[in-house]
Amino acid sequence: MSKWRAPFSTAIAMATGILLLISLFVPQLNIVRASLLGWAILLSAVALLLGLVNLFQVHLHNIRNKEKGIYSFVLLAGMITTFLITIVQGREGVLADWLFNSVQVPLESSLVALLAISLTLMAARLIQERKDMASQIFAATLVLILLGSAPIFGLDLPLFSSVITPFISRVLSLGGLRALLIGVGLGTLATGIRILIGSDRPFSG
Amino acid sequence: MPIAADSLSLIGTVVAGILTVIVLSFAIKDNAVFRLALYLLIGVSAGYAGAIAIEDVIFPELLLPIIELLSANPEINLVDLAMRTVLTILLLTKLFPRIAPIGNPATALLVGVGAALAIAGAVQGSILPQIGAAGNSFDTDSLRLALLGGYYVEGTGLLIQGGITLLATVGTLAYFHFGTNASDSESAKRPAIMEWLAWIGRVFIPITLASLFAAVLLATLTAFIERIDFLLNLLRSFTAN
Amino acid sequence: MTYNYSQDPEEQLPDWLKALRNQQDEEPVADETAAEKPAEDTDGSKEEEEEASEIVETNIPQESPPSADVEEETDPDWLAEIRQRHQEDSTADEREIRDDLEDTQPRLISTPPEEKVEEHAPSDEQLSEAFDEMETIESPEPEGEELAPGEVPSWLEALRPAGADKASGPASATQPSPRKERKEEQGPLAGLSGVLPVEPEITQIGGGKSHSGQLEISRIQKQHRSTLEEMIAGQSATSETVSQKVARPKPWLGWLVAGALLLASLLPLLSASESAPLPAANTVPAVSALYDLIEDLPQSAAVLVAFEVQASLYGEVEIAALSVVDHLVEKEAQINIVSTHPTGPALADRLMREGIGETESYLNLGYLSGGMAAIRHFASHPRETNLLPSLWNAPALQDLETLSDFDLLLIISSDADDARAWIEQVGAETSQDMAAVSSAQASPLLYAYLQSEPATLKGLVGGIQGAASYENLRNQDGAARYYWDSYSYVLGAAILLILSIGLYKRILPGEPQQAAQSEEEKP
Repeated sequence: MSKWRAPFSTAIAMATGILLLISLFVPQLNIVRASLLGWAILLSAVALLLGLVNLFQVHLHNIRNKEKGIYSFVLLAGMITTFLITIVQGREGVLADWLFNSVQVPLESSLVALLAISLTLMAARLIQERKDMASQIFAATLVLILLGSAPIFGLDLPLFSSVITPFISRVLSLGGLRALLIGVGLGTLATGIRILIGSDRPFSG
Repeated sequence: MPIAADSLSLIGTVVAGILTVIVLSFAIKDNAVFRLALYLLIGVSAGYAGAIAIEDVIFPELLLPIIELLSANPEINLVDLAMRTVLTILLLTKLFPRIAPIGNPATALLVGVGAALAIAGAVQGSILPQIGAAGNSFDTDSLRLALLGGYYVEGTGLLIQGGITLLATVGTLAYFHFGTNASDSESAKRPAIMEWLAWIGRVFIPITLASLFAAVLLATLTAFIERIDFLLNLLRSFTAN
Repeated sequence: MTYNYSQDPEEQLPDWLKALRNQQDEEPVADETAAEKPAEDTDGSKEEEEEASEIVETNIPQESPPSADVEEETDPDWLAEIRQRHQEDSTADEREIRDDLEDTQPRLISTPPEEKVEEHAPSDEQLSEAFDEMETIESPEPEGEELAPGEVPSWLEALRPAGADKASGPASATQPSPRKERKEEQGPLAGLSGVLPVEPEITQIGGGKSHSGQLEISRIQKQHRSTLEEMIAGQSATSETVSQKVARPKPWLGWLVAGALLLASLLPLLSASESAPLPAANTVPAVSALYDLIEDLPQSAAVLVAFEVQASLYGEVEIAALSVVDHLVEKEAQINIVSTHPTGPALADRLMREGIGETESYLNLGYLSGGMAAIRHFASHPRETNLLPSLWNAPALQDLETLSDFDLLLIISSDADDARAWIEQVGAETSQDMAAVSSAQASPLLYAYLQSEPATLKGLVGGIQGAASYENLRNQDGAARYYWDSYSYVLGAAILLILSIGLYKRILPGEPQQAAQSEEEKP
């Protein structure tokens, strides 16, 4: 039985993918497309719950083994409390809304704000340490774009804001961005085709 | 005794302020309170996401139809509901390592659907439009109008602009091309034209990455200002009261 | 085997044995070469061996004693044969026979019983002799043959206690000494040499041999030892790797950056300054395009807002989105919000409630699970998605069947990938006009979609800069205006910090040399 498991799953992935791909272009297969997409939507939500349960198991194990027990306890306490309150009250409930807006949003926003300090320091160290051509072009471009993004200390620099920065953003970097998007698209295409022909099996295990 | 909404709002604001200060204290030094706040964030966000998934997806898509089926609702599609139930049960077996392989068909379905959508979206939404834009770098309509109107300088500018953009696109793609022709020589090298284009790509890639980095830096600076403003308003509200 | 020392051994001996002893006492031992004996046999000195062989020689009876006839009759067959052989053979064979006899016959030493009794308790002299006899035994070489000495392996030689010869007594030598036959002094075999001891030596008083702990190491073993020591020493020695000398960031630099940014953001906020000029109205074509799109919307237009904002960048996206959404509210558009993020609906409620102050002119359709699958499904069959059916009964959505029935699709996104998913999936299903309001970090990539052929995005407001331009277009001050001065100062501080920290080592005189030296000193 076990030796048939892998080909069976691969066959499902290939059949599902090919069928859906055809149905995207054949209107008569709308029912098939709707069914497949509906199942995938439901399974995505179940997979999210599985991740939640796994997180719970991992940190419960940490508490039992007293590995970073206090951190795991805080994590589990927050998770269980938020989950129960949101399930009971719904997303628009008072406490659920309070937990979301008073705990989650400030914490996440503050982490990104902290990133501003790190990125500024990172850019400075890049200029300090790296002396190759690519790093110097990177640093020069960065400074030129920043100088044209907004007035500096309240003073507008029209040479940068009207000429240099738009030229860099809309001409010089646009070509590279376009190439990146083409490259990403081609990579996605190749990966998808490999799954549809059975070469890649990321679902096994 | 239910807490008044205003009090809850005030408590929430104070809690948000304290958590903001705790996170920003990492700029001075890493500390245990900061890590506690991180773990709290992970727990709260995970719990919230799970509850939303149940409330907005699993309940209406699976549980509610089952309830309606049990209450003999004739409009329920039995085949569809059966497939959803079976697939959900199969996926739930992933929780138990010994029977986890039983859930492979469910994950295979997810992967197949994702692959098909990714292919369709990439081709129709990214590759073709971007290649079309690269091929239309010179904005021929604007160029024709400029030349007809006698705006030769502007027309030349459009030509140069289009040429640079096209060169940047081709150079960046050539930089990541590593195919070579089979030869008897010891070292495999790219054709000369590819090497030349790759060298051009080496100039434009740092420019592109710098523009992306600058964008991220600007976003984080704005977030930093917003957080400082929040703390300032909190202090102002306390001092005003 | 026990021996009763109180008895007179002479009386107890059998007659044949008595005769042998007499012969041994009379005839000298001429044999110089010792017969091979096992290692347990006692080693006697060479003189004793010769003496013993002489005794044996002399003991070979030429004439039988008076009781010989009687003895001959009672002798065992083997003994009779030997007697006869000795009588018949000439002196040329005597040595050979003596060798045989030495192998088989006990050597008797004729000592008076009184002496035997007295000698029962071994004296020091006897002990030393006994130890001497325990020297290496010379293996007998039969005549005519020369056997090559066995090669003792080096490891076996090494196991030989080096000081064992020294510890065993003054007579011991480092070289293996010739085998000495011990002359038995006790019991019925007294006087015979080369016999097995009556008492095993282990019972003799005097203690055992002491062994030295030193090993005999050959030259090859010494070489192997030195090689092994070098190998072990090489393992513990760390090799010096040539690594890039990068100075670790100093903590005070982080404090400096944080302090400078904090100061730069606080001062304009505290002073409520609005002096920094906003971007000109039409300098950003993408912003103008979005403004025109919304301006051209019909009254009570149905607008679908894909709210793909994460909580981490909500603060920044809110600044950009407020002006645009406010414009939609101003146009009395029916805003319908959907999100593929679990936090999207809650953040959208927060934006509409706290930012716009609007609670009625929008409909939150909730969370779409499944990423691209959800977007594609929603784009093709919006009513068949997992959204609650009751929502679709709302008056604003009663006439909407597909996505094309909406007048505008506005993507509010903090991440380029989320916006790209909507562009790719919806663009394939409908020819719907799409516009985007994004975080500053997503705007470069989304600008490429704005310039694509065909253009998949019709308008774009990116970050606070785009929002400032949009507010300028609307001639209304909003969140962007409020934060614009602070943004200007913070940006200036960031540029100054990047340039000063990055270039100070190159600018300050003598600093690069000092820096290079300090880097060289670092391990």
